[in-house]
Amino acid sequence: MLMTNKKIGTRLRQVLINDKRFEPERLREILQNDLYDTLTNYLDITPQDIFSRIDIENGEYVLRCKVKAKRIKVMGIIPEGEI
Amino acid sequence: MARKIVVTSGKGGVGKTTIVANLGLQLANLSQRVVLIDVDIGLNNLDVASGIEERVVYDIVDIAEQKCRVKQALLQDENCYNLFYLPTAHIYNSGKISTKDIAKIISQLEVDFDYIIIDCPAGIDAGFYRAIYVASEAILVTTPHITSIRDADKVASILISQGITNFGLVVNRIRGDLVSKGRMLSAETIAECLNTKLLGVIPESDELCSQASISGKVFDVSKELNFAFYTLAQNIISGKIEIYNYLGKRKNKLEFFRRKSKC
Repeated sequence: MLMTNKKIGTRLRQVLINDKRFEPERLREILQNDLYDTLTNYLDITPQDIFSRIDIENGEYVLRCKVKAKRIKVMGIIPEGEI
Repeated sequence: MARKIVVTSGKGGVGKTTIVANLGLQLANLSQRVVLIDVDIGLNNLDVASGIEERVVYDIVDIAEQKCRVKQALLQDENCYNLFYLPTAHIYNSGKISTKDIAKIISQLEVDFDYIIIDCPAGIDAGFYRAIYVASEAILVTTPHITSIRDADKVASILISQGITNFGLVVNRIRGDLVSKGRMLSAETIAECLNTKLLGVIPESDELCSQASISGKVFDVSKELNFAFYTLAQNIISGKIEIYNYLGKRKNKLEFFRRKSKC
C-alpha cells in the first residue's frame, strides 16, 4: 500500500498520542506503589487498601487518594535527653 | 571544561555508534579535543566502528577496577591527533562498573578535553541511565521509521525527567528521493512531531552500508556523508542550526536504469 507523506505523518502522530494517552494511568500505578512503600512505614495496610485516581480539573491534574488502615503503627519512643 | 554529550536513541540499530564516530572525527578536525566513550558494556562496537579494536589494552571497566589509570586506557586516533577513544569491556558484566565510577572517570577527563561524547546503549535499562547520568547534553538519534521515532519520543521524556533539557534531534538514514516523493517523512516533520529542535540530518548511504559490512569501519566513507557530519559538528560548536540539504541528493542507479528503459 502506497502511503503519502501526509498519511505517514498522521499515522506517526496517532502512535505518539496513543502512547501518551495512557500515561496518567501508568503514572497513577507508579504513584500508588510509591505511596504504599512510604505509608507502610506508618500504617498497617496491604496494596489493596489504597485507592487512587487522577482527574483533570480546569486543565490541572488532581490526584485523589483514599487509604484504609487496620491500625497506625507505633512510632517508637524518643530516648530521653535527645531532644 | 568539556561539554558532555550523550548520544542516545532508545531503539537499537539506528546509528548511534556511527554518529559518535563521525561526529567525533569532525569535531576533532575542527580543532576540538574530543574523547569518545563507549559505555555499551558487553555490546561494544565503537572500537570496531573506529578501527581501533586491535589496539585496545585496557577499557573503562579496568579503570573502575583500578587495574589502570584513565590515561593508560585512552587510545589516540592514528590519523587525527585531537581524537581519543575510551573503549569498554567486550564481556558483559555491568555489575563491575557503577554510575559513580563513570562519573569519576569523566571528571578526570573533562579538564583535558573540549568534548566528551558518550555512546549510549540501546534500551532504557540500567545501562542507559548509567550513560545519561553524567551528561549535560544529549543527541537523540532516530531514523525516519515510525518505530524508531516512537522510541525516541519516550527517551526524550526520560531525558527531560532526568533534568537533561538541552538536547537536539539527528535524523539518520534519511532518503531525500523518498521524502521528495512524499513516501518518507521529512526530518523537519519528525522534529515537529517530537517537539524537539532538529540538530542535524544524515542521509542514507550505500557506501557506508557497504563499508560497515566489509570492514566494520563507519567513518570517512564519502564526501557527501562527511559534509553532513561536518554540518552537524558545526551546529554543535556554534549553536546555530544549519540543516544539511538532503533532498534530491541520493543517486539511485536502479532508478536511472528504470528511467532510461522507459525512454
